Amino acid sequence: MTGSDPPVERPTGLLKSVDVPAQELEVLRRGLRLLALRSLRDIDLAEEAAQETLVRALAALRGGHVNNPAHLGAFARGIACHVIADLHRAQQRTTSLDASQEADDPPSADPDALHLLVSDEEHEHVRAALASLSGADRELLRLSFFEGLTPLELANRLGEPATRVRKRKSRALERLRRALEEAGAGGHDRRPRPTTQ
Amino acid sequence: MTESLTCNDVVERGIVERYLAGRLDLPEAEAFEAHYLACPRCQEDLRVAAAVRHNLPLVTNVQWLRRRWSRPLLVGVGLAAAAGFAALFLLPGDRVNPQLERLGAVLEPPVYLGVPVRGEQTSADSLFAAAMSSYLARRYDEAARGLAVALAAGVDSAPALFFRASGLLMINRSRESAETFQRVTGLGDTPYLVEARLYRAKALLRLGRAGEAITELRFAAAGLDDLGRWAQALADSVEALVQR
Repeated sequence: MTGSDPPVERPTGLLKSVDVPAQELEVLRRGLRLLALRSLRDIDLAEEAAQETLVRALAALRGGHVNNPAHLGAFARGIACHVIADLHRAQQRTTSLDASQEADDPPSADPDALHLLVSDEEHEHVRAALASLSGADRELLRLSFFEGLTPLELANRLGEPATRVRKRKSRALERLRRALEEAGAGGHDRRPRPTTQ
Repeated sequence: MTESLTCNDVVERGIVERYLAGRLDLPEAEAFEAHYLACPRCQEDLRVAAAVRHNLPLVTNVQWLRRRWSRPLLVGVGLAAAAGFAALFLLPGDRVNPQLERLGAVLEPPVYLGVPVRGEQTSADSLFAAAMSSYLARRYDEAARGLAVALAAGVDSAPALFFRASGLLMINRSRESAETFQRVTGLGDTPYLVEARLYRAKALLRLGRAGEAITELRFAAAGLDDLGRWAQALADSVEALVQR
């Protein structure tokens, strides 16, 4: 997929396609940026990976290689993995004198690199919102996002009914989402999460 | 074939949280990535989650430090003693790295300086006092049992749970100790929060659960006091060991 792809015309500005609306392409671009940032840990490289993946994905779409638009995410992910691996190798070879071994290692994911997509102002708002939560709600978030507990596991760990835990968590997260929005994060198509699942 | 996920699946199964905590298996992670690439809602949830992971340790510890300045702690913790890393315990099972076990060692238990009782002393308070006498006499098994009884009688849960967990730690019942310290942190902002994380990390290290221990230590390390520096140093040691 990487070395044998035919050369494609690199679009400038907003990508357009008769197959995929521009808005969906922009959503895909944001998602690709998130995916790439976890592995590459560099905003500019992640942007480059997203752009390159979109170019290749569009070429494949135009070539009729994607039959079901519902599979676009999985298709784009497959391309992105190759692009990210290529960029990672290139990055390693420019930063390491010992290019032979390290450059061939696959990139490892760093979940905390995603915070680079949050601006300083947004971080400040989120900190203020977190500080306004009760200690118990902060602990609930810690168990969720650091220990990775599912809603059911949370309920068991905290000894509270699952419905109450879900509502507490949902309320806390809504406050944080609002904090991000107030800091100017808007522009994303974000609809409220259901609170009773 | 990659599983097809919906946003409801993501919420119901705690997938964003498990993705960032590294708890998704490969097929689930692939399915989630395929989903969020085309899902603005889940992308935004990832951003929120990333902001939480970045800022929560800072907020938690800053608030704890502020409280520490504003009112005296009822309990002091033997920091100098706790900083000792020499091994004291033989641990069950042979799967835990001995170096990890050594990092989980505790030379001296958390120091108990007394908890003032407001108003009339209740029977639960008496049970607590008796149990803590055992603790001070280093009869940790007896103390842990006594504190369980005091808790059942309704004594203030934060100190009782903290010192029960500490007693269990000292008699090498690491799993129960880790679970009991977890109950302390589950109470939220108490004077025992940061210490509970530190000692829970010790218990987890003895169990070979290095990843969870590092998480606890990173939380405790955000403070700029001696406790924070110690937690930071221990976290670095564990990470270096894991990377080797």
